[in-house]
Amino acid sequence: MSCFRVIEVDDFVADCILKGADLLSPAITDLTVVSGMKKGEKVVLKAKSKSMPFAIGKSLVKGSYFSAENVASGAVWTAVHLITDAIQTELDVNTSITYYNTDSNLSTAAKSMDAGVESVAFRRRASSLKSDVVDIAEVAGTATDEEPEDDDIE
Amino acid sequence: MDALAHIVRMFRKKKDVAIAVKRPLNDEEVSQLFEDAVKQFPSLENALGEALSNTKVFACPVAANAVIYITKRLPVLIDIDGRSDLYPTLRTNYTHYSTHYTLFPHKPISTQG
Repeated sequence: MSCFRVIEVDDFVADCILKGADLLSPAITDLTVVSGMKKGEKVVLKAKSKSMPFAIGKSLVKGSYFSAENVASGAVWTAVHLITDAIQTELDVNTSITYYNTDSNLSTAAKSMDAGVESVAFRRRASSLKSDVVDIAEVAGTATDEEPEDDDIE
Repeated sequence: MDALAHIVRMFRKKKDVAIAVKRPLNDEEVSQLFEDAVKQFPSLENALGEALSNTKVFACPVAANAVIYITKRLPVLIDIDGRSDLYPTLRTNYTHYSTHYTLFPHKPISTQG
């Protein structure tokens, strides 16, 4: 059973990648992870302080590229889908990302995105709850008993 | 690297995922999509089976010949070039992230006792 190759990177590297950078060769500290990697292989990136991946992309080089000569040069991975890209922020807004832990200081972009997603989800939950309350009030006949507040009268 | 250069910053802006047309897939197309995806990601078979079954799947062409497959407004798969080069979204990965781990069973340390 094949599975994704997961490369673990430091948090500041994750910050740079979430801002649009490619993964460069020096960011890979554990060379055993990339042994046997093929060019064009689908690779998942994970920050060290997180348990879940934040990016998925393609490798640009083979595993044999990582040697003492090449270790300090070149992009080795490019992103296809990030946790901060438009797929996540525009298309996936109806549920909050609870799997990605935002406690530690990974990225302000990721934090704001999660906060936005959670607020959207919260607003939708609140509006659905509000509509339920109105329905219940209408059924119970208590909707007309309440006096309007001063803020509502304009 | 030049061949892969187009995928850099592919879905960075809102206009990159602006959906003009949502084409609903029929059952055959969904099963074909499922087969293609499972062929590329055998470990995500259960996740994709859950995501793609008993719901309508829409193919949404977006910028740069990419196609995003969406169910219930949740993106499940990304086809980056329209030629079945599929990527699961991070949400699909998150929900079944445990499938990434591989267990290596160790040999018995001692045969005595």
